[in-house]
Amino acid sequence: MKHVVPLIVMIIILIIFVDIASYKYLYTSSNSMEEKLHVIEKDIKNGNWKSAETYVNDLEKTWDKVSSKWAILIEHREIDDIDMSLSKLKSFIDSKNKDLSLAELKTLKELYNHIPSNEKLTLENIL
Amino acid sequence: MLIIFFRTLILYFLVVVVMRIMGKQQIGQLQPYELVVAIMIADLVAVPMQNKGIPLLTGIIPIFTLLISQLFLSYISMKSLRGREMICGKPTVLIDKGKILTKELQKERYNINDLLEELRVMGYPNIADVEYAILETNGCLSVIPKVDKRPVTPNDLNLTPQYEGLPLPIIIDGKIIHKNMEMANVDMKWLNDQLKMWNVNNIENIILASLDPNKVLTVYKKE
Repeated sequence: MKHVVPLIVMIIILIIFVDIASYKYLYTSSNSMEEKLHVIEKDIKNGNWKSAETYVNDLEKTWDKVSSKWAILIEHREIDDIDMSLSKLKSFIDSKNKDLSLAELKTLKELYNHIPSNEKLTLENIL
Repeated sequence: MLIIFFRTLILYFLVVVVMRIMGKQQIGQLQPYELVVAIMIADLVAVPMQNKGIPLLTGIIPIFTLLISQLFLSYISMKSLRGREMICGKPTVLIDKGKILTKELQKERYNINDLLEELRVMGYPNIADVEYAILETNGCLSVIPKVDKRPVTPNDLNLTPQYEGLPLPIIIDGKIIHKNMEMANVDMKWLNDQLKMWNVNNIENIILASLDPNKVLTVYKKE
């Protein structure tokens, strides 16, 4: 009986700690992805396809690193969605299609955006 | 993570409350319709508990629906004899006056080995000692032994034992239960005298003090 209360407290603290850490990680990494997307968006708007291509490749590399960690924290379906959208964006940029690549870019932004907001502790998410 | 944590908490306490409302029957001996409810609730809660994509209400509404239907069925089985028979079924006599009723056994899909096993569990290794065996609606087997094989009661020996009432716990975990003291018709002065006799200075040191109907207090102290 003596250990019950400390055990409960410890587990709750652990859960809270893990939750905060994972939310922070998701938030910062998704923010950095969005920043990269922002640069690509500018390039596409200016017709700067070469630079857009290099940035997309760079984005893909960082995403590969990040996604393996995200897989621990979020649903794998969401990672698959991002993978799909990213490869679409890449081929649209390859074919230098401005409308389609801009549209796909917005989708990708939204996908990145909603993951931390989905993990945030809000009443909406609990219910 | 915390989202799932809170979802689990909400659902857990909800199920505890619902099970309490459903009554004591729920835990011990389940009637068929109660067993169904217990299994379904466990299953219903598990899904929204860990799937964040599902709104919590899709777990809560079916639980309340099950609660209502369970209360409804138990209300019917309280009020109507016919309803009770339909919902809970009837007990089946498997052994009647020492004779095994094979037809009833077959009807209940109860084989001889099951019967022997249950009889052994109930303490009758020899089927010849059994006068009646009745399969109850909750699946338990009640056994009534032959008259010459049943345990001796004081009545058989023409004894008249003293009246035994209900022993009442007066102190549990160092806390005095005043309701029981009133029921036993004792006051604090009497209790203090008794405790002095038991060499107790501090009530906190008592795990249990039980009062039997002859006003004898037995005190169990902490180690």
